[in-house]
Amino acid sequence: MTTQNIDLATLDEAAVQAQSEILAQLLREARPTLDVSPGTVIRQLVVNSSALFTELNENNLARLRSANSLLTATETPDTADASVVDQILSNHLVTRRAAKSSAGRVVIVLSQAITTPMSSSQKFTSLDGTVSFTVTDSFIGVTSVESVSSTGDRLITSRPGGLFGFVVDVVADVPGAAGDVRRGTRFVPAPRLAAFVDAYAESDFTQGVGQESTPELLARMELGIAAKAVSDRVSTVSLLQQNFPALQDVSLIGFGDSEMFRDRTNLFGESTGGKVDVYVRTRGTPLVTHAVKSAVLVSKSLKLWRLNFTRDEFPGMYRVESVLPKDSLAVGSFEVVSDTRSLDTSAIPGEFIPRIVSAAGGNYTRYQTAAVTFRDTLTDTTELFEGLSRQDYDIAVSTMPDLAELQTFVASRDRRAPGTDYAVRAAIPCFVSCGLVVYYRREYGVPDVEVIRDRVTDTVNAIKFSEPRLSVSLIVNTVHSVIGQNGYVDLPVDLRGALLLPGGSTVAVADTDALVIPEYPELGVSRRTVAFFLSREQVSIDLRPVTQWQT
Amino acid sequence: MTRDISIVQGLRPAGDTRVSFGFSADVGGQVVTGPQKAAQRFILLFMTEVGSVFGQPTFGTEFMSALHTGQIRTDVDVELYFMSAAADVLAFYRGLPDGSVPPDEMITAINLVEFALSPGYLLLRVSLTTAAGASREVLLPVTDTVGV
Repeated sequence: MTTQNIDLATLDEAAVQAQSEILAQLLREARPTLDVSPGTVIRQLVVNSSALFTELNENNLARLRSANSLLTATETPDTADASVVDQILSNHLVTRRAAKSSAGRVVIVLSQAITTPMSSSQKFTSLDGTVSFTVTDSFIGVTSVESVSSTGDRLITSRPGGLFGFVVDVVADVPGAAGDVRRGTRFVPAPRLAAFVDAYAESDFTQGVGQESTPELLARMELGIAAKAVSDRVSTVSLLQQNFPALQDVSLIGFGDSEMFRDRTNLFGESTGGKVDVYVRTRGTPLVTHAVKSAVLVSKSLKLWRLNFTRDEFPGMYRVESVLPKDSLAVGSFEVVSDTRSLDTSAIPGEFIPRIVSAAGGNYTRYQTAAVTFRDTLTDTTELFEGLSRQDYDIAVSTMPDLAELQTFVASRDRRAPGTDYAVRAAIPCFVSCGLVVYYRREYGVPDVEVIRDRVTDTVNAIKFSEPRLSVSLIVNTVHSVIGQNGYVDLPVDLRGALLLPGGSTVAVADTDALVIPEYPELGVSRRTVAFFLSREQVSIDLRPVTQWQT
Repeated sequence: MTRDISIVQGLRPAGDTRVSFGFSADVGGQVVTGPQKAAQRFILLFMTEVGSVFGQPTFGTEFMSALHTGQIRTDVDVELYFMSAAADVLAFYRGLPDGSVPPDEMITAINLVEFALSPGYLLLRVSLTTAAGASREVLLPVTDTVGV
């Protein structure tokens, strides 16, 4: 138990001296014939030594009292004993979130189709050496379907350019967000593989988290003490966070809120209550998932193809980020010409379906369906048939993960308040981009632009529901937390946002002072339902040395 | 009359009074009082390096520190540092609460009677006088890095 201190050197000398005086006085009163004044053997060897350990014990008692006090721990979270805080909060069923390692799939590109064994200790390290991953099991890349006999056997397929490839599962060696690499991040294998050409992340890796710190844990304390039931907002949030540890933010819209439109779908257009919209943010930035999906030709002349998404495919998806020919190594995307959202509220066995009557009302819920039409300029459609011809494409789709699971959870019969229906929605996204010009003083070295980029994205993605604006000052302060006084951010900062409204339209917002969320209550859009998302790729940083520092 | 544990062996009113430290097996459990206690306290004070006792930053003298750091090399050095240490001991006694030390334990004068200095060896003969008029002479064998 770390509460105990046994290091005598940490004791305060004045306090030890005071203890010595107290013990000497006590001994003097108890044994008047003993000389306990300074300089005597009794004082030097017996009383002073006893005073040392008396003071040590007093210190440890004070530490224990402090650590056992929720009030003290809350006031000084950084110095509170972690193990004791865990014990205190366990009484309220609040447990510290364990660290979690990022996981994902790595595509291994080979120059030849040869059987490629891989032991369970095979590692893949990013090119900059900052993050490493280990395969989750031993794998073998096999060259024929007949050779696939277990989950560890991965079929090597042909790839463009006369290359070959197969996919393995990996997990980060160190828990935390550092392992959240994006699709396309390249790796170096260790040990090296035969015929190795390249290795890269197939999709964004799932979000790793560091172990919850004591201040973060104490911040959740109120939620822990709350009744874990879908009743008031605090209790509902507590219940959700307990069962979905990755949940970052929750906003409940209910009776009387301007954003609540589901309870006004009646003859009189009056709010009747009984409905709750649960807006959630389960990730700092939307998860971009890559998959292969079949599209149907809808127009030969215009070369238009359509991807149809059921409600179970990428539930509540934000948008299709890219569409490319299957196995293409190209970057970019075919042009998406339309994105139409609909609704599927047909029965799901064992689940209560919330009342949603419009397509826009179902946007970003698990009941959303979508039809995304794009123009494939490469495929010759001459011999194809509209409505019949199909072709596979590599797509990338952005979503808030766990949406369907959250909906099932809150709507379950045992958990749902009998008089209420709940609709879980992904936070309405405002995709942000930011352009910075940062000046630095040469004599202090060039600032680490990647650190600045990481800090800025973390800061923006940490903005909670109900914050009405993303201020430029917040970004400037964040940059200065990296560069200190050794530089400055040139103003104005280029700050832009694209707000994807339910219903499909996009509202562009831009300002040099702050991005302020516009309110569209009839669509449920407000600061209580919108989240800012800033990905690293959308942060542009131009570093410039200062030619003359004015003093 | 108050008592202290006897830790300085060989302390006698007169004669060869070379002292040593320890809880002697022969006379274990003895206590001292009076001039003998005063002499014991003087020895403890004089031979404790000031600042070496946790919680008592001013207890001791600089004599042993000077000896350990090689600053005592000549007869003059011995006399100078002894006088300084003796002054510190007397100041300590003056700082004790009035009436806390009986006259036969209150040291009022400290004199270096004679000393023998040779490489690696220093012997001090010290005379202690109390407020009651009693005297004690002690021989302090200080063996250390003298003159190195």
